[in-house]
Amino acid sequence: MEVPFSYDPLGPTAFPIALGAVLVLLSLFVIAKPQNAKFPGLNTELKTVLIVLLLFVYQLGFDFLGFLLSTALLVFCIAKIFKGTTSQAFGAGVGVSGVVYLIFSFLLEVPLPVGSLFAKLLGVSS
Amino acid sequence: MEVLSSLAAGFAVVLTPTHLFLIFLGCLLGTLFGALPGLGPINGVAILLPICYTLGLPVESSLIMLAGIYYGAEFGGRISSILLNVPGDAGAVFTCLDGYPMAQKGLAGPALALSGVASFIGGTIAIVGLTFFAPLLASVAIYFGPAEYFVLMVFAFATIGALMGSNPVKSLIGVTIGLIIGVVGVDSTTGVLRFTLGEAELYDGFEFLIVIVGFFAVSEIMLMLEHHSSEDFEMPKITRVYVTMKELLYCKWTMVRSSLIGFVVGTLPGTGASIASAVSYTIAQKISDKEGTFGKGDMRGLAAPESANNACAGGALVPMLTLGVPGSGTTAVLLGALMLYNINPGPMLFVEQPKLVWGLIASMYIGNVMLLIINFPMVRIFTKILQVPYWLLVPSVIVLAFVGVYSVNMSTFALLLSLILGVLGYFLRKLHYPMAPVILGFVLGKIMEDNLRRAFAMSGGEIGIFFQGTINYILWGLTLFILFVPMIAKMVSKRYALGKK
Repeated sequence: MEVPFSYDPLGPTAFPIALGAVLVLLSLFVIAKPQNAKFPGLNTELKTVLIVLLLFVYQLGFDFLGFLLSTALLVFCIAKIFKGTTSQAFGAGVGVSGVVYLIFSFLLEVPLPVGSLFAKLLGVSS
Repeated sequence: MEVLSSLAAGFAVVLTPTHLFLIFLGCLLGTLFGALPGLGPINGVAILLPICYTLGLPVESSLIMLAGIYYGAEFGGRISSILLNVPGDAGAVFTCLDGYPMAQKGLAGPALALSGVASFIGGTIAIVGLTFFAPLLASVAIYFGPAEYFVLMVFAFATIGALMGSNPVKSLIGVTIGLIIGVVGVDSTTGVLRFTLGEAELYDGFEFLIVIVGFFAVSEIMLMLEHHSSEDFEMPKITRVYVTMKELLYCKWTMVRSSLIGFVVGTLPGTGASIASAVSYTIAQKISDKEGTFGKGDMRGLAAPESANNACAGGALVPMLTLGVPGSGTTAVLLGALMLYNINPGPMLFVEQPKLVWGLIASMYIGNVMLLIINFPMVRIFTKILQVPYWLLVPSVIVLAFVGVYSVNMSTFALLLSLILGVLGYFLRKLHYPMAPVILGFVLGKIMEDNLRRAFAMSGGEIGIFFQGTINYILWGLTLFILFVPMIAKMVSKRYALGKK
């Protein structure tokens, strides 16, 4: 990062470089004296990965499927992971997505995506 | 009495139906977030901040409500500690030690009531302290130049390193990571892009809401998989929900002492309720525990951490409002909220935004009384809420958090960033890196760098500017002192142990 002229003697690079140096120095302490981290069993770890995947897919599908459908699906899956029965998870999915949609689009007047999929099916431009 | 007239002006701001309702709502939601195991004040503020922002509330209204969530959560954290032996938030860990044994003895009701009063006393003493101490500090703070500011940040980070968490190195690494995240985006002095990887959405840097939702909502739900649902717990029976005068008088000195300790610890930059309650519990035990009843349901052992963690919330606002340096993780988020509204926190806040500052302080007097009142009749309802199953709680939390981020940024890229930071946060937390320093570093990074560069520009590159003037001497002195505190504490406790033998 080169800046031709500046009245600022440090420039934009000094601070990040200093931070990097501090981080390296501090890391040496951690490397010298490692502490064991406790991770839960494989089963829970897989579930954790699954949640991250679900959230990743959620943000991918957010605009395409629309807020209501994608949220209902997400809530259903997470509720199942947290040991809800199928009917409880279904209720949570419909309930949470519905209530949040109502709060945001009517109370807060924030437009949430209808979903380009439905927009195409219904022939409306979104 | 300039303070009193300012305070009166603050009450004039607050005593409107809207603001009274917002205080009530904040306190109620705060108690809920505090009571739910796993969710604390910082998560509560993180999840509700985007909603406040999109609601288009003016800044003082938002801040009044968010602060209500903050001290309300310190109030609510005790409920699950006492009933389930599960601390509702980090500040309530020490409440379990004597609160849960009391509940097992059939004294759950009195324990809740006593801790409620202790919280109220702690909160009130801290607000009185805030009212009189903050303007004093603010009047000194206007003499701070860029160099003084930079040294102040160094002092803040030294405090975090010395006092936070079990491992000072990890706290400092947390700060550095926060600072590095704060560097991303357009450099404000030269306009150079730094670490944006060509993503146009990163030109403005990581947006504050994205960072806190990632660190405090996404990583939280990943961690929640490991907690067990509170459905498995047996809820103790709650009998009388009041305390007798005799019980209160029994604890009076413990409560006053712990409140003062909590307030002082709170004013130190970066130290939160967990340190305040730990210190006050230890001291209460050393002074009062003559019969060895602490840890077995001693009322003073319950009153001490509860007064302290509420007092800490008030204390933490002192450096945040006067110096622009948050006193705890949650005040760091509140500081970020101010920046979101384009308000520059710092020594000029008291001069430029008297309505905001005094309105907030006045609202806390009212909020504390409200909390005391709603906590007695509603304690049974709150205990019901503890039984909300995780299959409903977890997805609701994440959807609210994500929609909040989306509604402010209007892009799914923001959601992706939150998710990435959430995964990073999860690993940091699993590896015992405390999160509060990260958020403090993130919030303070820009201010720190700007002041560093401004100071150098003023001195023409001379480093001597950081070692000139009374304020700098005092700050460096304090920094050195705080770095030696853990060592001194160790020596004192060793002496004490020897004396006992």
